[in-house]
Amino acid sequence: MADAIDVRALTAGSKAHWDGFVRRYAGLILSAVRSLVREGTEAEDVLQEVFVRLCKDDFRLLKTYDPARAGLSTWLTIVARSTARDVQRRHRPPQSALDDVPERLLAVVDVHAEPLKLPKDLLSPRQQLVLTMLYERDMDVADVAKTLGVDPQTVRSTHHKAMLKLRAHFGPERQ
Amino acid sequence: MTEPMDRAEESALWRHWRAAVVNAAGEAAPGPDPLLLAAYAEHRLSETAAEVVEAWLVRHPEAIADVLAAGDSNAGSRPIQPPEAALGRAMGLVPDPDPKVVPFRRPAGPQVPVWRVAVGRIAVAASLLIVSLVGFTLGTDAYTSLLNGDQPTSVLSQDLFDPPSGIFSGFGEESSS
Repeated sequence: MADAIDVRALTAGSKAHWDGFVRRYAGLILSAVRSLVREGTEAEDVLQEVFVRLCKDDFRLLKTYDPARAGLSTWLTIVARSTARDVQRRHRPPQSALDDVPERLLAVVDVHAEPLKLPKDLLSPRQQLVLTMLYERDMDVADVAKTLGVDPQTVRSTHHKAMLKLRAHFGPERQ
Repeated sequence: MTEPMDRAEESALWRHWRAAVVNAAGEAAPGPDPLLLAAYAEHRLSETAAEVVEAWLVRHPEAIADVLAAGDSNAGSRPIQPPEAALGRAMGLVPDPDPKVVPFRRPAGPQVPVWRVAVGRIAVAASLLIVSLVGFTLGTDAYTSLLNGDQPTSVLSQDLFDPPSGIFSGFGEESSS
């Protein structure tokens, strides 16, 4: 979808531009939150919440958008999904997967009297993200590559190097 | 990419490291703003800026799907058609600063010259004056003729002060008998 919306006129409060903006991007916002909320009333509530956020406080959020840095559709998708998650948090009791809770919080007795001395910079953020996507989000290599904007071979290579480091570090501990 | 046995082992290694380093470190800095994430999704960030976003994504893996979806938003997938009521609600968030209210005007009739309006008003005033004069004259004549004695004065005064006999007089007589 080509982003041909005059953001300056939009944030100046032009009613005609706002109406055009709503008509053009409401469908994209609904598509973006489809996997997070139920279709129907809940999705429409999120849609309204997104537009409220965009125009609240004299279009404060919309004024932060810079077309030179990202496309409007991309930015709106991020805003819409973030809003949907916030709405979910408000309406549903907080839950967290058991795997997401640190072990020290689950342990009845802290068996680690001395914390493990692990080098925090053993893995680069990129390597950590690749492992997170592969082992926690169960994404395939193609999707990981698409998310990072690299080719699949680079993902495999990053994964391989990260595993070598982990094995080298934990190898002596396990023996 | 790897054998299932290796995958299980690698996954365990990663989780072990994550639990010890990533989760134990706690929340460090606030998350990137939507524009930074959007720029990351479009691969427009420098390596240094991308590292900051990637470090945050490792702590918030639920946002990885947002990045992937944002990257796909320009792929030309067919968006959902929103209901008109939802569109109307969203459009109503920004009021029209210059509402187009059409003032009510009387339908324009044929143009009447001023002199004709004046003549009409004078005619009405004159007819009121004539009616008043005629009425006054007739009343004066009737009074004068009464004073000149066409009827006895006693009859006249009785007519003036005694109420005429009506239906109540007959009713009163029946009730008394």
